[in-house]
Amino acid sequence: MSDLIDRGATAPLAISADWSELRDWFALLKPRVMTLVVFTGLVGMLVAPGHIHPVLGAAAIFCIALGAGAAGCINMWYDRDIDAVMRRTARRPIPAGRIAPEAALSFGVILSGLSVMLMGLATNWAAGAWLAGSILFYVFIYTMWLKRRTPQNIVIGGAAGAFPPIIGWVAVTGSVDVLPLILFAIVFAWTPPHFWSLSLWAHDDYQRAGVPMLPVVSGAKETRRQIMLYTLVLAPLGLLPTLLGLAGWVYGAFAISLGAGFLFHALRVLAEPQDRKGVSLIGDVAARNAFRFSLLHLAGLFSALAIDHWLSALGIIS
Amino acid sequence: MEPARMTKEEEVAFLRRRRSRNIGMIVVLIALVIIFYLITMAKLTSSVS
Repeated sequence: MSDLIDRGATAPLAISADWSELRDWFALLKPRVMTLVVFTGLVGMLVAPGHIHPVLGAAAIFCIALGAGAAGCINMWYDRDIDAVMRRTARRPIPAGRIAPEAALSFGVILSGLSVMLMGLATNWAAGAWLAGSILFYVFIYTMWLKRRTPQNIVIGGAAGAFPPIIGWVAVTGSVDVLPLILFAIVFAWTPPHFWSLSLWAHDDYQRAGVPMLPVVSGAKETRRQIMLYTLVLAPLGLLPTLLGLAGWVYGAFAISLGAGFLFHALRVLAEPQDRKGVSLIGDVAARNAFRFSLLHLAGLFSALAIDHWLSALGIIS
Repeated sequence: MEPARMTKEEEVAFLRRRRSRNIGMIVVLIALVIIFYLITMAKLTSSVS
């Protein structure tokens, strides 16, 4: 089946579909950010005590992804003015004029409602409420309130990205416990050094858009110091599940190695050859490496927790 | 006043976009039906076992 267009004297022309518009709608959901929340939410679900039907578990993960995407979509609607002036984001569907802002907002709101409703129906309404809370936090607290007002935007706003392990856990158990709160704290403390490493070498865009990222407001030197401070908090936090007996030595070994690795990279960021203002003289090599390592750090830590949990469940480790 | 008519090229582009949107809509609606069906069946089997 295809639409036909009358071309006068010539034969009617078959119209094939143009998928670029659907790709634009999908891009509104920030698929790359989705990967992180899906992964941490999945681990929260895997390490939770109890059993969830695999279909319901998959539905819960789908809802977490959908909710995160919906929040990202509303964020793109609200930030369309600053996205238009930043090189990294100017080609996004809204600033590029390919999708109308109002349509994107409707899309985000509908998906938000759908994800929460589906989560409540598939698992429990406590998980639905946590998911709703995370969407509202990202949209109202981070996007609309903090992002344009304070260099602490990433610190407090980072909580929005830290909710998925709790949501995954609550989807299984119906309530919150100590371990998901520690996982929340780990992602929360991980977010600032992760984003500030990125912003050290990509802050021109933020400056142009007037977004008060830490390197823009306080300078590169202070940003390097803050990356070190947060990494000093993050390293012991990563070890906490083992210290409290909530995870075994396999996870502990990974936590020590990854924490030490992140500290090493933070130290290199701090000690990188720089001018008096802290601007790198060698192209922010250390910050780029720290940013890449931060991704490995979080993925490794959460993977190790899931592996440790399985080994323990199989009786291979105590 | 007569409304502005689309050129042939604009009309083709419009129809291509509309077609992809329609197919996308159908896929999403079918996916939703399947998801709700699977969730219902899973809930039923979970509560029975």
